[in-house]
Amino acid sequence: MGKLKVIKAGALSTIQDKGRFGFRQYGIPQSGAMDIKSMKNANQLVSNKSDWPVIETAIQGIELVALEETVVAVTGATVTIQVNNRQVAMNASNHLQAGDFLCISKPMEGVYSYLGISGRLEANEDFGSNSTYVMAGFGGIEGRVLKQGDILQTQNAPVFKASSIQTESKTNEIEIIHIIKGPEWKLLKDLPERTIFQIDPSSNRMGIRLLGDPLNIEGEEILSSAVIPGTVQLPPNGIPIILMNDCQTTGGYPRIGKVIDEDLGRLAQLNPMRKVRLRLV
Amino acid sequence: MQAPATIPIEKIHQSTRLIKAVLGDSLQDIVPSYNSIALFYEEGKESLIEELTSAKVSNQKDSKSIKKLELPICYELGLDIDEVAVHSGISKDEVINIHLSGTYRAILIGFTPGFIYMDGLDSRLACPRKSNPRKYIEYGSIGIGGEQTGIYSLASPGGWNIIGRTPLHLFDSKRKPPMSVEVGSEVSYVRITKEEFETWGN
Repeated sequence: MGKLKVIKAGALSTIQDKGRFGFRQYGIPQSGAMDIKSMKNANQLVSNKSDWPVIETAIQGIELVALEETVVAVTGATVTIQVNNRQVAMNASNHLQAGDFLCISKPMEGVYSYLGISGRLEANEDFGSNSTYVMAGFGGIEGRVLKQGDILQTQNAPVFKASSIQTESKTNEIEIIHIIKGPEWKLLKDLPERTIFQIDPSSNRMGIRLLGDPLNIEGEEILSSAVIPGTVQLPPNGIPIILMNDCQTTGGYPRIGKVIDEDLGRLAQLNPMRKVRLRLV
Repeated sequence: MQAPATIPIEKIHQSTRLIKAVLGDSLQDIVPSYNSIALFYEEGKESLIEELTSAKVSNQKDSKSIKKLELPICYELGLDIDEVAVHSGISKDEVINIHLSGTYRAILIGFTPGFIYMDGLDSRLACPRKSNPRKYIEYGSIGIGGEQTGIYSLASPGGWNIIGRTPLHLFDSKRKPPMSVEVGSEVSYVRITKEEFETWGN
């Protein structure tokens, strides 16, 4: 079992798991961790099942106090982690005693960090998932972002077995994001690969917005059709938007491509103004 | 949505029902829209598409499978019914009578979770969306947004004119399927009083 109390939450800290599936036909977004691999790693390091809910923080850090002895691990964006003002490693298991303060800094590199806590985190379950979807109040704690005073309680903590994870930390001047052709690919007059885009600071859990020279396309809007996380939409201004986990289920802009699932976590972690190239697989 | 629909919406709805009938639970999700149907299946289950294309189905019986629902509606909980009446230049009772005499068809589900877009609104009741959307609209609220009508089956923010409310939980995450209305379903309304609304289901 584990029990932690939130001292400082950060504006965008939520509980996330792998997301909700099977309810898109009812307009329910997928949600779930923006960087699934890091979420699974956080669980693995504390001996949890890989798809159990974890804490996702974005842009800002989080501070907690342990109310019971437990094991935690932090993965994802590069942060500094302190236990009672002593620095400990990320991408590693850390044992906490009752009364220990855990302080996770804002990221030096990357956007989303994941805190795994030994055991299954107690949270609202809606449509088969504990993932927080703030707009409709699904999952998490009361369907909202975490706030000061929230208690994070886990149950059924597995027997701890030390494990290690593989992480890739090399960054490239221009990140290549791989896409496959979307249903409206044929409307494109330019190859997306020709443009070097930058990550727009207004990107969020609904979508990654880009900055750069517009792509030309024939026709502006389509009849609302299904979209999913990874769909590359091209609005009339010609600058692609890559839809992410909290995106709606249908959209009316041409779907020129789809970022392959494998690259979605890496894309989510790119800081504002980082350079990207969209390349066909 | 400027492009013309090349496929009649009835065809989309009928195909959706047939695909559900053939593939059932082996399909993860199915999202019908105006001129396409998106199928979601787990990795490695590509054979489902073969199964679908080789399935022999008769569409003669399909018309019977269109769901027809009669929903209780309380107009006293229509927050904007007076505005709609003023905009339409008719009395509140006329708004109610015109609305009650209509049959509505679920066209699309989405935008916000559980929101049901419907056609069939009498053009006399058309009324532009509110310039200031509400932050919270109760579940079961029935709204008019321009020429369209719809039901907020779950509470959510929204900018449509609310003309009434049904006490029914059209969306229940614990029910299978969670929604009692599906695309293609036909909806008509029966008027109930505020008292009946409050004691509904007790």
